[in-house]
Amino acid sequence: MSTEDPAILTKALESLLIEKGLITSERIDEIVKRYEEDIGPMKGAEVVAKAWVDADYKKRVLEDGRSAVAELGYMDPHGAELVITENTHDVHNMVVCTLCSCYPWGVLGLPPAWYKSFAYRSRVVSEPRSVLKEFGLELSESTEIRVWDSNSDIRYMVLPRRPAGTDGMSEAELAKLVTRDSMIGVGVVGVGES
Amino acid sequence: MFEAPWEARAFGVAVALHEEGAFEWKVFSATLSDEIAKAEAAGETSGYYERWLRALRRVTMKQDLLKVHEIADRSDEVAGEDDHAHEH
Repeated sequence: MSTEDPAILTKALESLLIEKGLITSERIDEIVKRYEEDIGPMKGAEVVAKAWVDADYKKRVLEDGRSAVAELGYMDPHGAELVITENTHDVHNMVVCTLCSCYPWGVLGLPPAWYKSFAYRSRVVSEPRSVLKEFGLELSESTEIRVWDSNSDIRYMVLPRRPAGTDGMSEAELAKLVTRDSMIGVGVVGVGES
Repeated sequence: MFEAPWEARAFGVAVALHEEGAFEWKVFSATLSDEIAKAEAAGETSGYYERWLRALRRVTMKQDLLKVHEIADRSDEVAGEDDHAHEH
């Protein structure tokens, strides 16, 4: 078996770091469980729904995303800034990390595989409209598309538009409509789909 | 989310080291970007977590947490244990 086998190298690094007292096996278990089970796009959905029903909160979300999500108890694990960009009738926002996979873990969890793919990262900036079409989203030619390139200092999340016909809905009901893709900007929020 | 158990461990080790203050996340993130760029330039088919793991190995050496020979020796030991286990 080759020492380049990733399972072997992982085991080697993990055991050495544990022996040196830098990390513990329990801590790794806890982190994996946290990202597999506890942290995910439902956090971001809660932020979006609150911004839809509370104009003051929305103002704070757009002014200082990091502090606004911290009000709900969500923190970026790397202390990065969080910029939340609002979709309007005329502007559609979408998020990418062209260099690697920077993503707002604290509100969306870990990114989906396609977000990390070369195809998405290399095409979003040059041809956003065709990428969106592949996600099933056709925007009118008059809609301006803004692409936000994440990095280790600044993460982005999209505040999607609130769909029509949701006037009577509670914050919790609204949050259920908000999809992960709509907060990355490759989808929009519709009624009756989520 | 993770396609193999080692991917989850490699993820957890990097995040745990960062949480323990062993390195700033931007150091890891810059190294990961570099590994991804190299692999893509070479037209490799390696997966995301293989590149993540290379970045992790590089950062542990760069931050002087581990030495290159320690990693090589331990990898050989682990590989030996695995081979041994397979005989039974």
